[in-house]
Amino acid sequence: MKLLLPAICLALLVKMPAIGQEIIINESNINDTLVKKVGPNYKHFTHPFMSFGANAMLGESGAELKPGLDYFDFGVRYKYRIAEPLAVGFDLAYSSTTFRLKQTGSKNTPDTALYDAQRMHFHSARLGVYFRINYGKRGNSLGKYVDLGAYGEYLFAHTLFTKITLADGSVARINRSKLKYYQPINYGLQARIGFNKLVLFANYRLSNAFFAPYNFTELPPLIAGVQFVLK
Amino acid sequence: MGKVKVFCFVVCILSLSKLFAQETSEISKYWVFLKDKPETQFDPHSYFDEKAIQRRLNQNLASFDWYDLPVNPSYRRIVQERVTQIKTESRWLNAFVVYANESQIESLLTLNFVKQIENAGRSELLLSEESLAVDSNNLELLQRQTERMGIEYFDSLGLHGEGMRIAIFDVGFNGAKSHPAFEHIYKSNRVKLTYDFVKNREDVYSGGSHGTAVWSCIGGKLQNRWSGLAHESEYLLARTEIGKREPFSEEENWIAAAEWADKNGADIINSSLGYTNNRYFTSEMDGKTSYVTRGANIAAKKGILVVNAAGNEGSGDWKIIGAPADADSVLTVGGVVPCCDYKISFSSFGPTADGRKKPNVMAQGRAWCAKPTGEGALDGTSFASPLAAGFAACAWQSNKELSNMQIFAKLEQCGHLYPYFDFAHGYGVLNAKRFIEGNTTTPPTFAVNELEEGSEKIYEIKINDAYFDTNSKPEQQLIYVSFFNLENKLDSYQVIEVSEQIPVSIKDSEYKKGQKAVIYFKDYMNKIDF
Repeated sequence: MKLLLPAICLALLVKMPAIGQEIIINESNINDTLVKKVGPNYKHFTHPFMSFGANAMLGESGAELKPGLDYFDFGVRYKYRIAEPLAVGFDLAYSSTTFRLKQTGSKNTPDTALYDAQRMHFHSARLGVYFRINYGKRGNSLGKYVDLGAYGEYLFAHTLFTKITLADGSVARINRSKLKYYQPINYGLQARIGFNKLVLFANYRLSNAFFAPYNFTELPPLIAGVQFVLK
Repeated sequence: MGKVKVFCFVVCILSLSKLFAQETSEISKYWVFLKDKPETQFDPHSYFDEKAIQRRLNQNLASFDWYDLPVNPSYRRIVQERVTQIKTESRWLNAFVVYANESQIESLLTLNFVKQIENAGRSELLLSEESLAVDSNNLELLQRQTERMGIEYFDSLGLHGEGMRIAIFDVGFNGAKSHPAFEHIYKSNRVKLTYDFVKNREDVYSGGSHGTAVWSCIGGKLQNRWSGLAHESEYLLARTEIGKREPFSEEENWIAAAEWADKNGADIINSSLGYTNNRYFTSEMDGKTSYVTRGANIAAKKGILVVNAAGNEGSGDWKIIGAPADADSVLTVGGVVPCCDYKISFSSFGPTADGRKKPNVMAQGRAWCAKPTGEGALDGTSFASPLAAGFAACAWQSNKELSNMQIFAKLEQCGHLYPYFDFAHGYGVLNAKRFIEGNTTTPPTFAVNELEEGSEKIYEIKINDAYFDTNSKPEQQLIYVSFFNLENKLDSYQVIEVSEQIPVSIKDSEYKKGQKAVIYFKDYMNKIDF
């Protein structure tokens, strides 16, 4: 009710031409908003985040990977505070993951041929749920915490990039998509250690990346990296 | 997918989590509050500087009280044996700050002289250095930051802060010792003591340059002009904060510095620091929760005038003042824009969580300051606070018989808006002439006319022609309006720029009987009772 007062006051001053008289400060008593429910350490908190990471395992023989910064995600996280040290929540994110396949003799994923370069690129929509334990006394800040949870993701787009030097010396770059051997639904475990706006994360995929009949060597399941809380 | 790998993943995460927990909870910092101070010997004349004794005498305070007694040494020995380290002690709070693990804390709790133990945590340092930009007209900015408070008036009365001792708590004073801005102070040996409470040493000339800029706004000299009002005062320089690269700091350093300032005869403490959301909630800005606020209130009980920046959260989520600006005995200083008398966007709002009036007064929120290798314009209530502290030194010098809280009240009364008050501007910008001469009766600068429009009553606020300056910029002609609710509490407020002679209209029907609006324009205040 009290918050309406500035708006009412503004309405009362409608007779003033904007040029002649202008309200440059119009505030209500901040005390009215002191009982907050939304904030980093209040009942509800929603914030965007962005992550950068890498495949933390370089794969088994048959699907060995080259190292690189191959993971990116961007999403929104909701936190519901249960008590000072406990919270639960979920996050929705878009993620992009690349697997750069080493061209070794043992390679069998997704084929046994050797190329100049080959990489799989996945675009996913992810839903994660988590349980948070906070450490240490803090005010209205995220503080120090550990998140443990699970996620499911839908692979809505993928490409298989292949670079090959042909017999005539020319270089061909081929992007293929709509391939049948990828599992469109994946799931796994997730864990995070947070220091306010800086988070270390690890995602461990429990599901197989490929459908069983193809007998491909599985891609490494662990991705780890750093995440930034953007609020 | 191998179960072994999943198991390893979970074990790895839990191990990291355990390490994390150990780091934060097992080796933590705690405040250990003690019940009493038995068998404590204390000689104030050997402990206090002569000026500290004099300050007490001037204000009819006891030469010492319970707060001044040291923490019992035998308690210290016992606690020392049971913790990893005693970091510091506070005689004002009768407490130790210790590093200890949980079992050590449990052991301390069995001691019958231990009253309470609290996790000390860490707090955010709110350095107000928002931006650094060279103003297009340096001299104008430099002149205005002191002239708008009436430096000439104090100057004509020979008031430059002589005989006043000012303690400055900050992040460091890089470059100050060799900076021309402070040459006049060092030459006359008026830096009485320095102490770095972060590193426990005397050198305060490292750690950051924020303190250098702040100091210049109290008593520096730049471009051959005084950049602060108290250029003849004595100074105690304390480094209490760790700095911008380490955005966490420790309140116990502030309290230790306050005890040190008291012991060494400070009349005024300037603290351009604030503690907000890393440790506290806005609801805890109630003048009694944070350690630093409790320390600031005790400092005021010792007769020290504590001047603190309101904070730079006005346009952020936190929005209100931080600690210790929430203390009732702290003179909380907000910032106004250089051109005019309205709040600069970032300056934090009042009131306190328990509804008390804050900020108290205002000074310029952008100032021309000393930097380690030169000078420049800086934004922040960090610089409004020292401008006000310098003013307070000159004001107090004019009547040393006054107690710190009498000066506090007189400083509020010399605000350019007084007796009007709102939570953005407090009582307004300090004014030397008003301080010395008091507020004079001003003829009405505007009229409030009651009009009937159909069945409705309308109040029109019309500026009197003699007080309407057609040559003035709109932002320099301001009407302040506060609206009070039925409990006579300030509910909302506005500042209106006026550039044309057109009345401001307020409809009576929009308010309940018993509500009121208070209007202020150019030294005159009137009200509407709805």
